[in-house]
Amino acid sequence: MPEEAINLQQVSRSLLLVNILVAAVYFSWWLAPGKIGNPYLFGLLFAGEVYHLLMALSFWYTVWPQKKRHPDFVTASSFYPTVDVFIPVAGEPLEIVAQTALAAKNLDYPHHQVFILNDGYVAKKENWQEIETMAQEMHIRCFTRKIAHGAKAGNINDALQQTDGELVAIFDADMAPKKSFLKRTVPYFKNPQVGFVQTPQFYRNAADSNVAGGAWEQQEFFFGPVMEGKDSVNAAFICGTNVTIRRKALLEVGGMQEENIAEDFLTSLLIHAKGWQSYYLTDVLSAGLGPEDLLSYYKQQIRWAHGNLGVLIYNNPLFKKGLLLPQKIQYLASSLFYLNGLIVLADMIMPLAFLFTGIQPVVSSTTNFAVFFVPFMFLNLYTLSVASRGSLTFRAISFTHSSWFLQLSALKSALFREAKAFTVTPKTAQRGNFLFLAYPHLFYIFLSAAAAAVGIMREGIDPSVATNVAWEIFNIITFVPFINAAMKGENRV
Amino acid sequence: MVLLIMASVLFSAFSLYTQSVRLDESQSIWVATKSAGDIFYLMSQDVHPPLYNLLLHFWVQVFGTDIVFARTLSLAFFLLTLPFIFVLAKEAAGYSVAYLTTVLFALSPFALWYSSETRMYMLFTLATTWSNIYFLRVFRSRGGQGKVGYLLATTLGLYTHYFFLLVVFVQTVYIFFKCLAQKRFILLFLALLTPPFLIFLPWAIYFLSHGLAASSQPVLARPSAYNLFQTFSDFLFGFQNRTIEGVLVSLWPLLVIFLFFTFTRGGKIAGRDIDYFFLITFAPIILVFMASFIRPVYLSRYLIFVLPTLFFLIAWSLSGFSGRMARFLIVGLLVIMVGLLLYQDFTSSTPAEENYRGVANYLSQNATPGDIIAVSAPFTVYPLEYAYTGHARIDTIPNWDRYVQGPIPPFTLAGLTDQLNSYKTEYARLFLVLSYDQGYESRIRNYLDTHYQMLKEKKFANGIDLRVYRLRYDIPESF
Repeated sequence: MPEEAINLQQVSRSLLLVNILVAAVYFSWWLAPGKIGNPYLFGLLFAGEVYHLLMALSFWYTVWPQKKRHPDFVTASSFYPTVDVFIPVAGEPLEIVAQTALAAKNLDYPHHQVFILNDGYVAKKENWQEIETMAQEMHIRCFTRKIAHGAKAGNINDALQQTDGELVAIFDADMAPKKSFLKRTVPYFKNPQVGFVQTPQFYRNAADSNVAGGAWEQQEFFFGPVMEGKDSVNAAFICGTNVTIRRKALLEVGGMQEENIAEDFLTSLLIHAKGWQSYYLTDVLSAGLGPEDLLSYYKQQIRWAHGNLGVLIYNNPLFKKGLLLPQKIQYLASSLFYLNGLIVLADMIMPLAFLFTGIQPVVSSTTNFAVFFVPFMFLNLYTLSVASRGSLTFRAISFTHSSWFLQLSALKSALFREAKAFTVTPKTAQRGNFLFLAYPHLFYIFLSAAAAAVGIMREGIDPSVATNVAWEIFNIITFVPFINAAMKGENRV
Repeated sequence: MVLLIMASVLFSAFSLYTQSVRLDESQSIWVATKSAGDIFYLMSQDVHPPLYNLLLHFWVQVFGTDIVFARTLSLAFFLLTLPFIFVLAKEAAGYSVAYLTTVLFALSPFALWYSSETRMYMLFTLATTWSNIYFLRVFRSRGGQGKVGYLLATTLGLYTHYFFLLVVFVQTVYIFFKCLAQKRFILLFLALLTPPFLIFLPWAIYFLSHGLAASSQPVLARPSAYNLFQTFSDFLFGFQNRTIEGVLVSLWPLLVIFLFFTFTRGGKIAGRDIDYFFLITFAPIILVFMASFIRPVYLSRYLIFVLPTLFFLIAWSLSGFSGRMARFLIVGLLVIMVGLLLYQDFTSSTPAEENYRGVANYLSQNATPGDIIAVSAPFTVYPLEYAYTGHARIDTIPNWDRYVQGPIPPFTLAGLTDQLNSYKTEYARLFLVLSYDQGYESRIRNYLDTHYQMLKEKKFANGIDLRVYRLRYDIPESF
C-alpha cells in the first residue's frame, strides 16, 4: 500500500497500439459472416463484446501517454488564499471524527478554518450532541443542521452559505489529512482557471479487513492509472473527499448537486462544463477507512452506481455543452462502467442457455473463437497489470465482477427515478452475516450445477458441454472472493 | 521433491520397458548403428541436425541397440534437465517457484513420454534450458556473466534441432526491444552469437548441399485452431485419446481464469524478466503456427523446448496466491497430471503409441519364408524391421532402396501392379502393413481388394492396419 503516492507506471504507446491491433483482429472474428446461431443470444453476446471493446478503448485512451499538464510552481509558493475546511459528519464514531478534526486543525497552512458540518441530528444519530461538545472543546466551529435537504451535498451547500473562504477543502469524517495537504493542493489555485484539486482516498484499514482490502484494491486502480489518465485531459473528477475546491467554481454551478446521489461526480462535470480546470495529485495526502463488511461495501457501491447511471441517463456527458470531447469521453466511460452488471448477466446466461436447452448463440468451433479471444484477453490483462504496476488483484476483479446484481439494482432505480437515500459508509464493521448479499451468486452456482447435469445427460461429455461448463466455472471462480467476504461477516483479517 | 522425481523416473522406466518401438525411434537406432561419416551423410538428408544421433551412436556402442537401453539416453538428458530447470526458475523467482516448476516438469506426461523415446527432444529441452539460464545471466549483467555458457548452449542447441533457431531469434528480438538504447550491449550480444553460428556453418552448408532434406520431410497437415490448444493439452496432460483430449481442449476458458490469476497477483512474489518467459514460451508456438500456413511444420513435439518455461509461468502464477488457495490449485493440477500420466502409460488408446512390436510379433508367428511382407508408407520399414524376428522377406510399397541416395520413389499404380506380379511368382501370401498414410494408402487397399482375395484383416494401435492377401491359388488357403 502506498505511503506517499499511488503506484503508477506509464504504458508504452507501442503496447497500446498492439492492443488496438489485436482487438481489431478479435472483432474481425465477430464481424465475419456465418456465425449467428440463435439471433437473440448472439445479439446479446455481441452487444456485450461491443461494450467490452468500448471500455477497453476508453481505458487505452485513458492511459495513453500524454504531455505533462501540471505546472511547475506547485511545490514552492507563497500563495495563501483563505481556506475553509469542511468535515461533513452524520453519526460517525466520535473518536474517528476527533482524529480527523485534529488533523485538519493541524494542517500546515496559515489561513485555514475548520468546520464540522454535523448532520447527526437530521440523520437521527445518537451522537450528534457529543459531536457538538467535542467541537467546542477543540475550538472548532460546528454547524448542526436542523432542517434536512440534499444529504451530504445539502450539508456542504448550507455550510457554504455560512462561510466565506476563497477555497473549500472537504474531508469525510474518517479521512484525516496529512499536515501538508493544503500546501500541496492550494498552489494550483494560483491559476485563476483552476476549479478543484483532487487527491486519492487511501484506506488505512485495508490490511485489517478482507472487504476493506478488496475495496482498496479497486480504489488503488481507480486512483492510479484511471484518475491519472483523466487528469491528463482535464477530466479528473471530485471524489467527495480529500479535495480542495474554489468556492467561486462551486457556486457558479449552484453548489454541490443535491439531485444526484453521486453529487461529486455531477458537480465535477458541471464545473468542467463551465470551463474550469482541475488537477489530480497521486500523492496520498489523507488516509481514511474503507468499508469493513460486505453490507457497507454494498451500500457504498450501489450509491456510486446509482449516481453514475443517473448522470448517464439524465445528464449524459455526450450532450453536455461546454465539455471538450476528451472530457465527454472520460465522463461517459466512468458512467458506462456501471452498466457492467448487464454484461456480466448476459455472459452468465449464455452457458446456462446452452446447457439447459442446447441453443447456441454462435455457430463456430470453440477453439477457433479462442484463438482470437485469448490473445485479446491476454493483452488486456497484461496492460492492466502494467498500468497498475502489478498492484491489481484478483479480489478487486472479483468484487467488480460480482457487483453485477447491485449494478442491475442501481440501473433499475436510476431508470425509474427511485429515490435512494444517501447512506454514509459505516466507519466500523457492521456485525452479522451478510450471506444474503451473495444469494444471487449462490443461486447461479445452483443453476450452473443443474445446467451442467442437464447438458451432460442430453449430450454426454462432449466439447460443447465442456466449454460451457468451463464458462460456468469461470464465473463461479470470479464470485468466490465475494461470496467468501459475504460469509465471513465482519471480515477481520 | 526427491520422492516425486523418483516417481517420475519410475513412470519413465515403465515406458522404457512396455512401449513398442516407434517409427522415429527405429530410424534413430538404424542411423546410430552406422559409422560417424555415414551418420553425417544420413542426417544431412533428414530434417534434424546430427548431434543426437552421434551421441546415440556412442551410447549404443556401449549399451547395445536394445530399445530399452537406447531409450535410457533420453532419460539421462531428462534427469540432467531437472537441476537446470530449478536453477532457471530460482534465479527468476526464488526457491518456492523453482521447486514447483521442477516438480511440474518431472511429472509432466509429455516430458516423461519423450524421456523414454530414442529421439533428440530431451536433449533439445536441455539445450534450451541451458540457453535460457545463460541468456538471462548475460542479459541481467549486460554481458558481465554467462557468456561462455551461452555460447556453448547455443552451439549445442543449433546442432540438436533446427527449431533452436527460434530460441535464438526470440532472444535477439528480446535484446533489441529491451536494450534499444544500449547499442554496445546489442553489439556484444550479436558478437556472442557469432561463434556458435560459425561452428554451425559447415553443417548448414553440408545440409544445403544435400537438398535441405527435401525427400524426407514429413507430410504434415496445416494446423487448425484446435491443434494450437491441443499442443497445450499435450504439454500439460500428455497424449490422450480423442475423447479426453477433446474435453481437455474444450476447457480452454479455464485458461482465461489462469490469465486473470497471473496478471492480478497484487505484486506478490515478483519475478525477474517474466516478460522473457512469456515471450520464449509463446512466441515460438505462434511463429510456428503461422509459418505452417505457408509450409506445415507444426508438431507439438518440435515445440517441447518451451515446456520448462511454460511450467515456470504456471508455477509463478500459482505461487502468487494465498496459502490455502495455492495449495488447492497446485495439488489439483498435480493430481490431474499424474492421473492422466498413468492413463497415458497404461491405456492402449494413447494416440502417440505405435504398436509395431505387436505387428512384428504377429508376423513372426504367422508369416513364413514362403510369404512376403510389404509395408507402406515405405519408411515404416524401420520399426517393423527392428522388432521383427521371423524369416519372411520385408519389402516396401512403393519399392524403396534405403541405401541409395535420393527420395522415396513416388507411388504409381503401374509400379504396384509390377511389384505384385513379381511377388506372385515367388510367394503364397502378402502380409500388407499399412500406416502413416502418405496419400496413396486407399489406392493400394482398393487395388488389392479388387484383384486379390483378402484372407484376414487385423488392426493394431494406433492406425496400423494389417491385411493378408492370397497371391497364388495353386497352394491351399491357410487362414
